[in-house]
Amino acid sequence: MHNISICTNKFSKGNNVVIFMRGRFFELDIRRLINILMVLSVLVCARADGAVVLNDVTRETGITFIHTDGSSGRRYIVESVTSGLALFDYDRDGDVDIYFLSGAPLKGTKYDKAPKNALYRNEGGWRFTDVTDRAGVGDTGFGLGVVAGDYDNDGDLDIYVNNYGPNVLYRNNGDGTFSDVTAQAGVADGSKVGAATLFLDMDKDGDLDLFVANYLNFTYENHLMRTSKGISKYAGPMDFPPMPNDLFRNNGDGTFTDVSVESGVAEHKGWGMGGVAVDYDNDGDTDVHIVNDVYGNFLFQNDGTGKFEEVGLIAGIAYDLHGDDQGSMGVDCGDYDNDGWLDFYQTSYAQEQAALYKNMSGGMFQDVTMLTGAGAGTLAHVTWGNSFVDFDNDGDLDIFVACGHLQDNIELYDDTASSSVRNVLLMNKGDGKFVDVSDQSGDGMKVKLRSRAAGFDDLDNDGDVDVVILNSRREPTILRNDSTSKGHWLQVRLRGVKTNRDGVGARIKLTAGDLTLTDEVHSGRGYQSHYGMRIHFGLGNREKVDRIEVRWVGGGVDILENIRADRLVTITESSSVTPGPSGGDGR
Amino acid sequence: MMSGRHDEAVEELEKQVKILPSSDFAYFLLGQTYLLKEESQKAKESYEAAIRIRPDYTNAYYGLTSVCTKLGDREKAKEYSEIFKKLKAEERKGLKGRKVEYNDFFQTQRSAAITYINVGRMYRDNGKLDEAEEQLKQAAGLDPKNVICFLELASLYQAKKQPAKALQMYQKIRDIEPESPISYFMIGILSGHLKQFDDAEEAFGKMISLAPRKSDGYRELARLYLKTGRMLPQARQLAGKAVTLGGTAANYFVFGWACYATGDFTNARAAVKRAVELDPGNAQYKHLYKQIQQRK
Repeated sequence: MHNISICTNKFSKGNNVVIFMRGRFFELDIRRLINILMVLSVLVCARADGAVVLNDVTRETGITFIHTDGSSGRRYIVESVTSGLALFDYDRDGDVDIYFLSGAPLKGTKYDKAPKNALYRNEGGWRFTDVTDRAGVGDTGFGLGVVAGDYDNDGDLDIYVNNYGPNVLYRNNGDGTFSDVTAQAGVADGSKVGAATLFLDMDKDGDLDLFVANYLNFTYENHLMRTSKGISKYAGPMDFPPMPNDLFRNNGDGTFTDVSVESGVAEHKGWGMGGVAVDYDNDGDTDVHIVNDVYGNFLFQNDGTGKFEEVGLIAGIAYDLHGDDQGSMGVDCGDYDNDGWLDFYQTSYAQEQAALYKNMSGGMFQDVTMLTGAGAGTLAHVTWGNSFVDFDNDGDLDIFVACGHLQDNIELYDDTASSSVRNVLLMNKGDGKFVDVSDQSGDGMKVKLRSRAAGFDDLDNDGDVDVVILNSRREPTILRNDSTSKGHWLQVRLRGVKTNRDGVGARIKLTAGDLTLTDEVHSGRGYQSHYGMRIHFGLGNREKVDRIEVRWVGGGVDILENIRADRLVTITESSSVTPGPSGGDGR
Repeated sequence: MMSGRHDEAVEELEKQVKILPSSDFAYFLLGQTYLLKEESQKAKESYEAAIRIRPDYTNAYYGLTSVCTKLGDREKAKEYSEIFKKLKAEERKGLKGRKVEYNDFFQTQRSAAITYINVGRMYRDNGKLDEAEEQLKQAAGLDPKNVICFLELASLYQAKKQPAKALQMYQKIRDIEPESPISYFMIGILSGHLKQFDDAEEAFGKMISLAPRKSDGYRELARLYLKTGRMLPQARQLAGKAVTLGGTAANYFVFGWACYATGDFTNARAAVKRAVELDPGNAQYKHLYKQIQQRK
């Protein structure tokens, strides 16, 4: 917090002015005073703009990636839903790198240079370097979903890309390069239209299994285009048959076994889009929530052994409050009301509000979108990437929603809609309600593009969460969190020993005075993306954390106490140390 | 309800169901409101009232599923969820594409064609026949099955004294509506005018077969035979049939003409006299009547 109190009891003294501030007199010349007043006015304006300020710093990052959807005017449905992105520290240098997915040329499309996925190494200071070729991760498949996870528990994060076409598993060699191990791992998964993909330890055996969502059964033969007012447009999902999702069990030796059928996952066909693996019922195992496009969403409840029962309808998460299905796109979870239960936020098609489902405990959810205002600003837009993020570190989770119409020509037949639009930022007022602050939250919220995926992490390690957005057919948008009224914070990184290396699925409960926060480590979330493995907690004005409890997958618990705020803490499984005031091994 | 003013919503909805006890929607909303108020038993009763009125009320079954789960009645929740799923599946059968989307390309073309036709009519009414023709051709391109468009074009070509083009338009109408006698009638007339007598004969024959109770086909086929000076007895027979079906001036005239051509002057005189009486301004009738009188 800035604590500048200025008293304007000033009087002229020649060319100088005397100012009384904080009990002292300061003598300044006029020009200097004007400069100070200008700086102060900027600060005041920034404050007046709102508590959260997200500025567009894309140009200064050196990122030159341009997304490609493979289109040529034939309007294949897969074009409209690409692509995801991943934010993760691939080289373990302490800062978060960016991996963008790209589409690929579809039938009838030609490019001089084949589009490919791109990996940008974070050099610090908001500079990024394209290391795609050096790292060997420039897949030229049609990218849809992506996840990063240490499937071989060797201490670095590997990448799985869910394509339209064969999927790809890149094993991180630990030296800045990756190897394509798809064939030996057995996870190419045929040639489907992919969607979200998630790593989770479904059977608590200490390694990460792989959930692969599928969108629909599209082929060039069953392709069709539709029209509105005679204008051609993309067909809808129900014009194509639904698909079941796939689940691969990690054999622990670098290979996977397809257990889609025996796990119970394959018996449910849908139009899968976003997803997140989360212990929604607090029973100690990781469940899977997959949202479907214009169909009831799936909530796969884990029995603890990797067998799943689809309970979306009974849980109240499959449909909206009234029992209507939504064109759901992305989903993330977070404890927006700090009650210890993880809630879901789901984005959707235009003329449907993005929806907030409150976890009522007992395996039940309630659509509280209207009651909380969590759908504000989203009704007119197709909404995609999203997350619960405490942008202003005040101790409650705000919501970011990436927007942009699926139809690239919507203006031609619907003068109430726009294809390129601004994204939406909803501020948590702390009383269980949200307010749309998009207009007051910096120039980054004024960018109008057709956004798809969005990722959230602290890219400059300054204690607040920044944003990366993938925009269809355009450059990405990188938003730096320049909020002026930030509170204290703590970031937690987990190191599994008996369980998976990054603590995926582990539950973290943090107590700081009267504030109790809950979060969980996820591998894959939002709109077919990956981000936020380093858990970020906003603490408001609390300068220390009293207690952190980590419940690892499998039931082990570690507790840390008395940790100073404003630092990154790494908690290693079974360490159960109670550090002194300096706390953990903060950076 | 959605803004959280649950008590007020309940008050209004309770009034509504008293005023209109058959309102399934009001009961459903009441159920929703009680659900949000966490008064599960009342919510359940409201949903049940809704499905008593409308047994296939899908959303009410969703509400019942939710509320029974909340009440801990898993069996009932399961039962209602199965009904909900079944009804939902039924609803989806006829649904293709996204809810807010539809495939309207051809409908749009048809709508645009009507606009072009109306523009064409305006040009025509202002004497700008070439511009009218252009607009109507655009309409025909957009909606090749629009009979009105081809009728307008045919009429325009007749006004421009282009009977061959007019004939083409009626032939298109015939192709679109092969069971409609009017196009055959005009094809017969225009073919006769263009001295395409075989086509004319075929067209009138087709018209007679499609509309045997209408006199026009008989009359015009008779007239065709009379004009070409062949099949005169058949012409008399056809014209007689026409008079039987409709006592119009034209029918009497052609019948009189046929009688005259076959030497039956008595009937010829009577028929043409009747035609003149029915249409005293018609010079052609008067001329023939005078001619018959002179034979006397």
